[in-house]
Amino acid sequence: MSINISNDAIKALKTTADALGILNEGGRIALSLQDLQQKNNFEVVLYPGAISLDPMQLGTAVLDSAITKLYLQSIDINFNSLEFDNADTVKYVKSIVRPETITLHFIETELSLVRNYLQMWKNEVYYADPLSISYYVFRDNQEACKKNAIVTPMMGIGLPSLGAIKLEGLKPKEIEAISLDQGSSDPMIISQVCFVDKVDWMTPTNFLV
Amino acid sequence: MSTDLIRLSDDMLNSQYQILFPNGIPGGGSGDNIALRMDQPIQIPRESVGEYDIYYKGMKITKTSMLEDTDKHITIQVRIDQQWAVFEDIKNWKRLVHDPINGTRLPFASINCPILFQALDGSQAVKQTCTLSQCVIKEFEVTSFEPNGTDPSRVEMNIIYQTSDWA
Repeated sequence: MSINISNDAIKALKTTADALGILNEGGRIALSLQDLQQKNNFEVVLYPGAISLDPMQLGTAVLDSAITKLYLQSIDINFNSLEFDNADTVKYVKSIVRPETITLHFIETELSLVRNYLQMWKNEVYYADPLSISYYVFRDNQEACKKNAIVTPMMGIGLPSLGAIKLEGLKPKEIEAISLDQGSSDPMIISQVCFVDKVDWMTPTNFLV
Repeated sequence: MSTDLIRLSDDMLNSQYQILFPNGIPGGGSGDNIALRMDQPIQIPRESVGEYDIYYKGMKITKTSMLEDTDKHITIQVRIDQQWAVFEDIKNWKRLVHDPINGTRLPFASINCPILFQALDGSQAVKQTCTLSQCVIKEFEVTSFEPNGTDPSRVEMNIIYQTSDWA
């Protein structure tokens, strides 16, 4: 059995749907006018956490921004999380869990610029001394090697967007396994994993602290 | 509107163009010989930017991204001369880029060259130039030989470039 609905009824129904759909249309237009933040459009400024006259630390300080400007391909950033305790169905905040590490992925040049820079930074933490009993010697001032970074997503017009991320206390932890492959046509990627003390969005109050 | 049409003058004809290798081709080859022996159509790749989709209540919104999406390859066919001089120049350029005999390549600065495509008007004046910068030959191929063929032999080059600019 088929039901015949008159064309007038269909048109009336469509008119009603169009009226109700104005909100949807408005949402679509509003969203289409937004410029979404692109993952590939960001700047990272790396700088020493403390001023030092040590020539080794001055060396890496000079190269910090140049290396990150040209050769940093991607950066993985973890943020603070909260740990909870359950009391029946209610969750209570127990503590803040700070991120352990931040990973910086660099492409390498044939002149070993990135490798040398990362080695210099690592030497600010510990260095090889063949005359020492332990072979590796840790520097007395373990805080001097820490660097800060400001990661700024950029707008399409070239200005920084308002949601920058500040990383404090970056200290080299390890370089991830490097892959060399006789059959690959990709450039060499070096991934530096760094300890981090603090990760936070840059708000006006954070920026002033 | 009719005055605008008159002001815009005649149509640009797609047969009126020239190709120049202003710095020659790497390896000392003759860019002029290559340019003079081209007789096949050339397609300059379209300039393109990436896109992505987002959805809102089932409606698709397509937006341009900030990732360049231009296919930076250009194919050029050149007639081979009986001395195979043009082929040797092309082969030598490719050997600088990558030598399959010993697996070496020279630094990028020494293996690239610009290529200019110039559109000409009726009086052979240059009206528009497309500059392909930092062109590097990626592959070449000699077209097949056939017993009953009447066409000249050609070598086809596939070139990659960094930027294209119309001015």
